[in-house]
Amino acid sequence: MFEPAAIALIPLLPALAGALTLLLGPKILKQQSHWPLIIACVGSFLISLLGIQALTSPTLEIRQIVYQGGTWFATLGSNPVSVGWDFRLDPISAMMVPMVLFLATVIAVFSIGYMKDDPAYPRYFGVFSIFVAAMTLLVLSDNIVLLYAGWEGVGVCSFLLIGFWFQKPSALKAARKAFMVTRIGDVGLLLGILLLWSGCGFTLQIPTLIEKAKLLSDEYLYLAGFLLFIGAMGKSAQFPLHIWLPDAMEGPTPVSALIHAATMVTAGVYLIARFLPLLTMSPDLLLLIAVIGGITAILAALIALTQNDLKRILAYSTMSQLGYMFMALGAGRSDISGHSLVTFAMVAAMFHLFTHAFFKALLFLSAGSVMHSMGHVIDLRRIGGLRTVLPFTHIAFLSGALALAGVLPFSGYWSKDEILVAIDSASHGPNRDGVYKILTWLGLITAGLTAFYTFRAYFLAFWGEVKIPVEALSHGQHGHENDHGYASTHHEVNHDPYGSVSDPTKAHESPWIMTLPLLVLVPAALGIGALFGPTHRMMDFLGSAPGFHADHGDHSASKWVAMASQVFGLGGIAVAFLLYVAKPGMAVSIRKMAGSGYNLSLNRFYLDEILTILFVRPLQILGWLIQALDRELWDRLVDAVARIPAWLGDKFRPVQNGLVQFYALAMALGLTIFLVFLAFGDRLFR
Amino acid sequence: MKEALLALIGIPLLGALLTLLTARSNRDWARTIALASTGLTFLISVALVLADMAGAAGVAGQYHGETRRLILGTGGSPESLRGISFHIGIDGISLGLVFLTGLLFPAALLLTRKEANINDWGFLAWYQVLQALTFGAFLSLDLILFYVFFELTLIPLFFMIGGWGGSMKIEAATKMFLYGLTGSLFTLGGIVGASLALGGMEKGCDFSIPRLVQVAKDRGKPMEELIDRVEKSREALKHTKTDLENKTAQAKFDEAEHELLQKRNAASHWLNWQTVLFLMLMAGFAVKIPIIPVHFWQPMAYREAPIALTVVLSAVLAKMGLFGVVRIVLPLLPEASVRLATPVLGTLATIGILYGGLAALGASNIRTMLAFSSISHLGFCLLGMVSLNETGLSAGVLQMVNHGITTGGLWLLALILLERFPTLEIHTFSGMGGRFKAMGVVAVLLTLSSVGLPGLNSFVGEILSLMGMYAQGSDGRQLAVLASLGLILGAWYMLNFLLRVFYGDERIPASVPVRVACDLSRRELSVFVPMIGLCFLLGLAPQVFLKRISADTHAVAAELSEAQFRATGSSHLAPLELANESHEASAHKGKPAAPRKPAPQDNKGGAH
Repeated sequence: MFEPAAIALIPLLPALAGALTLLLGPKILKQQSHWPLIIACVGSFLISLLGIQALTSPTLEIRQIVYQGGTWFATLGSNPVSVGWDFRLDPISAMMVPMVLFLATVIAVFSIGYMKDDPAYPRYFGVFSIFVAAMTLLVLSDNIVLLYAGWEGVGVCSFLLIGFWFQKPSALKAARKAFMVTRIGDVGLLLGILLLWSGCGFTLQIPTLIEKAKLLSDEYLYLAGFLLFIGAMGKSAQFPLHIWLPDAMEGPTPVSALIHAATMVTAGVYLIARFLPLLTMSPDLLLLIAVIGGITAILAALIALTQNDLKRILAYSTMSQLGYMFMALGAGRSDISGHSLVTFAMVAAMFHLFTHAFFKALLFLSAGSVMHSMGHVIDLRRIGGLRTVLPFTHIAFLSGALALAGVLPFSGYWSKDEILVAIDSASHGPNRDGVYKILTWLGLITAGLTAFYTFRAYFLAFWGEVKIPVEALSHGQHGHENDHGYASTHHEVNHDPYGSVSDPTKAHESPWIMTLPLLVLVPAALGIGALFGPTHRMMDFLGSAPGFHADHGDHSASKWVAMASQVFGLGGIAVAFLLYVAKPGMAVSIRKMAGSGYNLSLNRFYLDEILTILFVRPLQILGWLIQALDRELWDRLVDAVARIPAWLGDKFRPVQNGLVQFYALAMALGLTIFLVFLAFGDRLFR
Repeated sequence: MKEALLALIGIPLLGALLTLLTARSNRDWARTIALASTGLTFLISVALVLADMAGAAGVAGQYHGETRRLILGTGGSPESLRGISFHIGIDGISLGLVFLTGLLFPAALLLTRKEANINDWGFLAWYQVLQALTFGAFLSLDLILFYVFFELTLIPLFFMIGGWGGSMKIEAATKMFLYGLTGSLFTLGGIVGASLALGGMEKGCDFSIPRLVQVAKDRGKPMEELIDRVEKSREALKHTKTDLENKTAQAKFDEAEHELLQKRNAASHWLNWQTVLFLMLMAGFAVKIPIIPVHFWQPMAYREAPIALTVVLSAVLAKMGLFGVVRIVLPLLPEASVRLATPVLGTLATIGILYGGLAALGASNIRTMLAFSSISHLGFCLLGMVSLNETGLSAGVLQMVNHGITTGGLWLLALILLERFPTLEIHTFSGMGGRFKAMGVVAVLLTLSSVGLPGLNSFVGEILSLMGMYAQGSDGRQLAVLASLGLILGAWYMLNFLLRVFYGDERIPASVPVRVACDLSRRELSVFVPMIGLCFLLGLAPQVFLKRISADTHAVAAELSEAQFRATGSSHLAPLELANESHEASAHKGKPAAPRKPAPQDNKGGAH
């Protein structure tokens, strides 16, 4: 028997671990600070497995387990607010939670090796634990304000971890950017919450909210969904709120793997999937979500084509894959026969979220392993031929790349296929088919681009002649590992930026504590798609979530996209092989041919600069102006008014000159005027 | 309880007297006395909070430890003593503010180094007098008594800023004094007017706040009964069967409605009078908070005052104005509040949130930044209060305490930076967190609290304020949407501050000897650790306090809701009709000036 209160333990254990690590870490735990996190993650993971077991027991009528743990804060009156520690485990959250905890555990183990000797080791694991707590809180909460709390919590942990090496100027800029851009989304989400709360009889429980909100008018519903989507755009880095994600790579690489690839950035997808039974009632909104997803997918893929930083390529690929998921969610409408695609779309998006989390975490950890061995150099122009130097890492990266490129029968194929089928099915709907048709082709092209840039990175890093940067060697010789990214930027200044040596004997594979997690993730990344996709396990499980219905409808009309995506994917890999292994000279000539297009992609379409000029600078100038005017103009004006009495007094002061004759004269004059007025006043002013 | 309240006012006064008599030549002794007396008030205020949590939780509308002594009687029978009296008591609304006063006065003093120029018998004596007056204002249950305390605070402030301030101290002190005095004179007029209008002259003037609130409440009773009668006769009219019945019912209905109309005409005079009183009372409170067009004294005073004084000015004294709103303006003038609070004060609060936020973004000095950020944050308190419902009122009161702790903490941080370094210009700092680890942690936590991270204190107050306002009809919705943009600005300027001062490459102003530039001392930790503990406590378990606050704001909200009923015949401030929503909701999308369908709550015209 599963005790519902145990659900509350899932976020609570990592939270306690975080508090413990942050309080005791620097003085007592020191280099053992990873233990609370790992113990808490494993404990919560086991609890979540028990939860799944209870959830799938046939005696359960509604597939959910609810636990209400008392009030957080509440007010009464005409517009009551009630926020409780309410948790709900249903198939959607039951899929997310073990995934988060499993990856957190694996990445925590990897971090033991990666962060070894960092002076802020306890801080790293403390904030990491808080992040896990906030993420599970977000996923499990039944109350939308509690969800918002988790939402903000993961954002702050992300901020703290991006700015982990806080002396590094680029890291602090990236941290601020991440916080500010997601904050814009957060305010959107907050307004969406306010709108739903006031429109649905002041309830904040998510299932009740969804039910009641269905009665709202169309415009109101569109607006509520739009505001929620703004929140999702910020968190999940969708155009135009995507600009923070690539910069977020300034953080330690395991953090990028967990937060900026596998878990936190999928929170937006989770939110929209959770509310999809509501949002499906507004076809305009679905179209918007799909289009934004499509734009993000292709834009990010185009930018990733030309980047030279391995981590940034992966970051853009994350953005692109998130775009896929939103495209899928946007397909949750009715097809031509009036058959609702909402469950199919939700499952497609969540399934891709699931497989993507594993293979993208693997790719990032492999990149981390490369960085660790190469003295924190990750520029693809300076490394190469690592196949023989880092054999384990090579296998791991290749597995991740195959899964990401969607090669049959690896994970990415199954989930990407579902998404493309969903979009294509939606293009047989009652209206606006053309847009969905375009989106289908956009998805296919993106699949090709994805395969190309992934394997471009793979070939550049692991094939060709062996290139090893000088930092890797100093790193190996001195065992000087605590300076990490921060100090290594200073190294670069001293050396030739492209300097590299080709003596592979000095460089070495990462220690087992780092390669072991990689090897654990390899089968997960490769096989998890086949395990859940073609067997319909994912559909059966997620489809039983309250508000959805398992959908085994016939989508054979859309099966062509599966073939097409294989063609595009393998084609992309072949082109990458041709350009970077078979005929390396061709890449350069193509780059020259592309010219301005190449520059546009390399400079990320100048979107950062455009948004800065449009929004950041004007507000900064306005702020400066306001405080300057406040001090120098308005205040002076008030002061000037305050001087009027003194000025008046000054003007009249000569009258009080102390001469008796003058006073007598004034009195006589005054008296005369008074008398004249008395005598002739009525005639003067008739 | 009674003795404790008296002690809060008495101890600092005695301390000031003792300083004056015995410590004129000995700085250390003066500091010891001041620390002891303010420290004692801290202990008492903690004891009050604990006693309240232990015993009196959930008791609504009670003024605990109430004590009353007539100062100036104006006739009447002995059992209903009227006139000006020394009448103090504490309830859920003032409890948190009393605690803040007890917390921050000793904290600011404790963090100031012994060598600082303010450790002078003159300053310390005034400082203790100021604390006594602040306690007095928060505890007063008599209008005149409140006014005396409220107004007298200007005198110690004037001498402290003028005597121990920065380079422009005289200008700053004069400006603060003149602004304060001008505003308060109107407030005095408002207080006398309210007392006369509510209590009348027949049995002598009455200034007791609880009694006047009761009068204000009772005044509306006949009107409510009449509205009930109209409704009932309308119902009766609907259910008539024969012609004859119909005729009599019609006559009854007409009569009732006619009477109501007359009553409303008569009430409109009272409403206009209330409006005047509302504006007069608000004048002084608006200057104190400060609200946007009358805030000019504030950045200058915060910049020029000795920084220990700035701490209490911003964290404690600014709340006196907000306290006046919720204690006096709203309950004594419910009709005018229903009419004016949301559109006028709500708009000004929103302007303050955005203006303060933008100005803080542009500020180059930590002091100026915190001064403007205070305007922005106090805007959220006011926004909650003027939404007039229980949620918003409770949020406003809670947020006052939150702001006191968070911004108080940030000012204290500025104080200890100024103890170490010669200037607070932001650009002179960089990477403080690298060298001063504990200081960095404190800065990060206070910043996160200030930007409203869930789990820390400000989040609860801010979100409830917004929710209170959002449910307040279409005006309220627009204001809440605009105000929520302040959350973005708030994060922006606070992160600028945090990242520029505490992150990045380490750089310390050159002229500072390393001996002075040190991490938090044990003394400093003993202040910051409890304050951060409070941030977490109020963030994770706010209900303990919120319940206590709601018990007393409930009464105010109920009264305002009755006033709304009298004005419109509808008891809810903002009934939500889903069908009507869509039209108004479209106004959210960036065209706030779009013509709106007159929502039910706009029909206040019925009253005049």
